[in-house]
Amino acid sequence: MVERKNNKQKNRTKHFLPGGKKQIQAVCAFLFLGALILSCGVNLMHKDRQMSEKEMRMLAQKPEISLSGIASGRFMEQYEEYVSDQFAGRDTWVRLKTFADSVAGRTEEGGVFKGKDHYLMEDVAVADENDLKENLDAMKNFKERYPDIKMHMMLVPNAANVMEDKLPAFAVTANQSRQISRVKAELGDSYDWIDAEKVLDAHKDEAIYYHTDHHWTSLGAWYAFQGAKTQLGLDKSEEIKMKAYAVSDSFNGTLSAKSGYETDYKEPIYIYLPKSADAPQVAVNYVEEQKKSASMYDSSKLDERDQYSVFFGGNHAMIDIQSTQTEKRRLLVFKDSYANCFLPLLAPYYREIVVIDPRYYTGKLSSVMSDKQFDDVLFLYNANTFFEDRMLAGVLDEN
Amino acid sequence: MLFSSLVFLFTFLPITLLVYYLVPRKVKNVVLLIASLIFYAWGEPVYIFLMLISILFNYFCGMDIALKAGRKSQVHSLIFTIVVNLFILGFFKYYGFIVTNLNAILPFYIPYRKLELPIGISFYTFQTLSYIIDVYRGNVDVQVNLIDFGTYVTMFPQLIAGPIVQYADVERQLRERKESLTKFGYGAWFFVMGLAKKVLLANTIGSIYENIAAMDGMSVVTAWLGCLAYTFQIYFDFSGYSDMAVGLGKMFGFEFMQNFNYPYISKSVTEFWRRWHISLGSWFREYVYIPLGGNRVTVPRHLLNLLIVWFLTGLWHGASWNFVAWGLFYGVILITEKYFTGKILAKLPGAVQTIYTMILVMLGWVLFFSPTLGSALTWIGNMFGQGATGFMDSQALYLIMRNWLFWVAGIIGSTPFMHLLGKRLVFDEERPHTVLAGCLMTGLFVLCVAYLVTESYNPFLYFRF
Amino acid sequence: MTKKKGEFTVLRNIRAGMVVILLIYIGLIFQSKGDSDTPFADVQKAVVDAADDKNMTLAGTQEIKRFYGINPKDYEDITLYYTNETMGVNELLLVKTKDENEAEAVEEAAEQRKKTQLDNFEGYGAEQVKLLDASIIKTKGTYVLFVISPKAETVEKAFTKSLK
Repeated sequence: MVERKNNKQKNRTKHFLPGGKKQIQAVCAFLFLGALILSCGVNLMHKDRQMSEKEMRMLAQKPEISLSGIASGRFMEQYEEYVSDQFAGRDTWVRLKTFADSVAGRTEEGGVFKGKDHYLMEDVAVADENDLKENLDAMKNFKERYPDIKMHMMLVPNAANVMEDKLPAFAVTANQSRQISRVKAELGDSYDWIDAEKVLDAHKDEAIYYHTDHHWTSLGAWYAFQGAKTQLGLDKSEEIKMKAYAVSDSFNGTLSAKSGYETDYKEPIYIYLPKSADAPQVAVNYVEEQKKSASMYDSSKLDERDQYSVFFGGNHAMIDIQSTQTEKRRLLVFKDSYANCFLPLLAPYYREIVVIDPRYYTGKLSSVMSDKQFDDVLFLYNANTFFEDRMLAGVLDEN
Repeated sequence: MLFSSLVFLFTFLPITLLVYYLVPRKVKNVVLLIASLIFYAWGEPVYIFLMLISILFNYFCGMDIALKAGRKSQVHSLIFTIVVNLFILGFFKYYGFIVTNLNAILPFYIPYRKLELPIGISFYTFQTLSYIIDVYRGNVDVQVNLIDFGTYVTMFPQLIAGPIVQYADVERQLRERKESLTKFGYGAWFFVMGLAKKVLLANTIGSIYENIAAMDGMSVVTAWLGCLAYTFQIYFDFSGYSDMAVGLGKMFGFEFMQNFNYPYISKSVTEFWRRWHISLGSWFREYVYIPLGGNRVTVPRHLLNLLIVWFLTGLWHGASWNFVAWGLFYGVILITEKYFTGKILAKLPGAVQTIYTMILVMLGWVLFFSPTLGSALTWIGNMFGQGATGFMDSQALYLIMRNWLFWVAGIIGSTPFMHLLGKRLVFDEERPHTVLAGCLMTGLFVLCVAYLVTESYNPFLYFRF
Repeated sequence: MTKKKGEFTVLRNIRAGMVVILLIYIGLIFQSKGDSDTPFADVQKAVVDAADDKNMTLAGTQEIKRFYGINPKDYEDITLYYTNETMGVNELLLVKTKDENEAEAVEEAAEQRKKTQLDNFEGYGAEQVKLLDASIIKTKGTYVLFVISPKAETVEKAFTKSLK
């Protein structure tokens, strides 16, 4: 028979907690079980959604059961995502969490600052040194390959930089102005530098950035355009007067979706249209989709979540804008989405503008260059996107 | 699977509880075993077979050792069993580490293929070893019921992250335990408190640490803030999980030992290790330190014993030199306190003792969280002005002000303040404030769910074990 | 006495048997992580067939460098197919490294590509983001597979099967 030492059991299981009243314990038991049963029940009855408008993304669906999925653990991961994405009342839970965070003093969520006057601002991005160098070198080489074409660079600062005073108290961001100056110095004489920072700074008390979106407003683009006209050589042409029209007053942008802040804030979107009926007419060719349109605006997007896509229907790999402008000017633009509301201001001044977004473009740049005879090339980026870009060099360097 | 996940809370746990309470007493352990296997397989669909092999192997070895009582061959069986268990642990956890180090010094190259670490292997291996050694010593009866033995090893409340349950503590409960409504409620309370610690404190403060750790250069204050954030994160993470384990245990009628006892109010490092990860300290004392002779030996031998135990304690936490350094760091401090500074310390005012302890503990954490010894020294340097970008900067101010509630909660939560407050106000024997308690528990639970639904950041630091 | 001896023998055999099972188990796990002698072309055919996508273009050295930042010359064999659909993200990368330890670098390049594409389409292309999230990176010995496709699971299965 084996002897048993029965000593340790009693000492070690002593607990360091209050001697709770039985009543409280019983109540806790009921509450806990009640919460579990309630949640189970509600979730069972809840229908799965395809997409979340608030978060601007597709929601995970029930994953298929497969042996390889289980063996690799992928099924479990997907199932957990599915449960989380399809949890009943998800939008309300998100709100509760954002509220709790703000009570605790947090004013930043997902890289987005909750600023004063209902302004949401993206944190300033810091470039990876290698990626930035690759892009700048590619730009300089590109200029060397086409020395006769005038090349311009307009790097637009972001809201967190221009409207620093609207950042929440104690907030600290990297210095974007310094980074922009560095780029200007690096590019040197090969590029004509269009200073958007100065222009926007002068108007920083106006509505030049959206409250809930990372883009600049059409007004901001308008001011920048006025400041760029001379350098683009458009001051000699006849001015095409434009007027701003509101196409929406219910815009709620991506920063809101990303952070969960200001989800109820609605703001207007303006577009600029030529005043005179004699202004040059514009036609847009979406090259890869093989679609043509007589308008630069896609009003169907105003019924969708991302209303900013009203400009050209969003992002495309390559767009070809042609107008009835008599002066034979041709422009090539490399851009990100900031340019989408800037291009309609340029379009009537040029015979043709070819627009390439390096994030989606997989074609041969050299054939585009040899096909058309461009007079100017414009690189139009907002600083954050430019400093996080990893696609530009690949597009420019192609042999 | 994690306790702090929606699948666990709203799918696994309700179903398991339901089935457990429906079946007769005899079948309850079967339910626990199957549920635990599913729980483990959810996170380790391939390595579950390793755990099954370990269970079967130790089951038969237990019987073998018990049968050989009084014979010389019993020791051989014991050694064989221990070796195989350590081989399993060593192979899956330390093989890469050993080979990399060997390759650095040997003239030829040993090829190796990296394997992922099976979750919880350090915990369940220590539990099987505890069983085997206790059977050998005659402290417990051999467990002839495979289901009960399997339940002991795999019980999901403590499988992944402890507390390390020694077989002797649970032997009786496997056969005779009583569930009750009040026990269940007590467990639910524990569980929700632990969940709140993990989700509302550990995860949130942890993201502060992650932000700071990603910075290129930091000021002195920022370096301290980062270290403090990690100090809070690891405590609330681990103790929260242990609380959940204890709570879940109660829901199934088990009483597990507490793993933490407010370690950050300790007045000496010696005391700290009586309050931190108590089950691990107990295990090492019971099965390594005392067999080596403990402190009933000559002074040099005692020092050696301590260093061995702390070397192993550090190594248990991870297959990396910074963990070994962390363990030895504590070994040396404990020796110093025991033989030199202990008496002097005791004479100092309480607050000074606690500050002394916490500074050492925080420095220890820098060793623990740094991927290499070099980066640890850099961080510590920053904390004392070496290589830092100034004493205080706007970044540090931002980190303090914008997370003020979490810092305050962290400090308060590290002390027994809330516990004592609760005892006074809520759990008063004469007039219990049931409504208040109920609201508190429900409120915390609801808040936790909100954070779980929205988060993508839900790490568990002690998961490398 | 004999009864006990019998029990000892039984137990000894069981224990030895368990150790053997353990070693076999370890062997199986090791083996599943490795590749076999299947020629690269066969593996390639298996995964391309499984992907079953007519709108893919075979990439040249330029595109491989451009999208993944890796130099085909550094690897024993490498094939990349990318989509020619507008704003599509379907992609299939198959690499055979010279040494198993180099596989990790390829995995990192694939992770970076996935992250870059996610950044490009975030908040804008919900369908693309979904496909990217469901993408699979799998390593077997010296072979690394990265597939973004609605048929990603099927491709991964074909990959694993061809390297048995």
